[in-house]
Amino acid sequence: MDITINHYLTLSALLLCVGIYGLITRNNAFRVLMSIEVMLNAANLAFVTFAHYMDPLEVKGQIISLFVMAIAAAEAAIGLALLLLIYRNRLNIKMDSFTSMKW
Amino acid sequence: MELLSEFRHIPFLLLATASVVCSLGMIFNPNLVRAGFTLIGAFVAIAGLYFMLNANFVAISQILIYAVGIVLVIIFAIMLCSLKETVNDISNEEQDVNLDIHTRRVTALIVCAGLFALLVYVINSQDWNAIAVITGAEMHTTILEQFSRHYTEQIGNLMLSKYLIPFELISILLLLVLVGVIILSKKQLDTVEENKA
Repeated sequence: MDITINHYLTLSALLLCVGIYGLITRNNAFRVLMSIEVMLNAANLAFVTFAHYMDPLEVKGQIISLFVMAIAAAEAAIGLALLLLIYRNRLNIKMDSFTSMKW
Repeated sequence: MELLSEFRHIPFLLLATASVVCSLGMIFNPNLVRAGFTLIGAFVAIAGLYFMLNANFVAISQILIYAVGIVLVIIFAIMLCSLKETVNDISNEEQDVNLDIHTRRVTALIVCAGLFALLVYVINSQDWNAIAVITGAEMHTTILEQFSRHYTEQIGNLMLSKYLIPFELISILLLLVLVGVIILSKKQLDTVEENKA
């Protein structure tokens, strides 16, 4: 069996769908944050795959995946600061309880 | 790191299974802290896949930034808010009468299965070899043999020439995030002191 670009892209799609499932179903804000990280990793895997199979001279996809990692670190830092802030104010982190901005 | 091509599918299948199982474990593990630790397993497996794709620098960055940096910080944050109901969140969700959890799960399953089917259809209907010819990657193996050991150098050169502006923007973004996180935490400390006074 030969591993082609289709296998890597299918794995990336599967990880993306797992992340979306966690994002929709879980009510805990930490799990939602971790699901977002899984989705970002799926996108990164697709970028690196395309860099390997489509652009072996200038690996631009690898550079973009490094940028995605930096932005994911920023997103995790801000997200966790907000979550800890909400936890200190409300003493819970359920997604359903963050409804004060709903009209 | 160049593996024999006949045996190349074995590490791929192992790493792919590990990443998907660990991601599912992150979603379905009843204990929130353990869910965080399974996520580390998923990220390490994906780093192994990057090694197989000859992206050594990205693989090491994945382990350093994701597996050790981001996930450990998330686990610390989980431990800082570790109420019992927070740690065992899934069983609490099922007991919650106000939350229509089953409808939500079925809808999410349908959406995800549909999206996955669509993506697989698109991936398999595409003629990737023709696209590789257009992008000039058809001399795949020979070019790989020449360049696979110089990818880190290539990344460094491109980041300081062609991708210099995004690179600098990322550094500004990280600085802003640092300041923003400090402001978010500090404001809260002030109000706590006011409440005490």
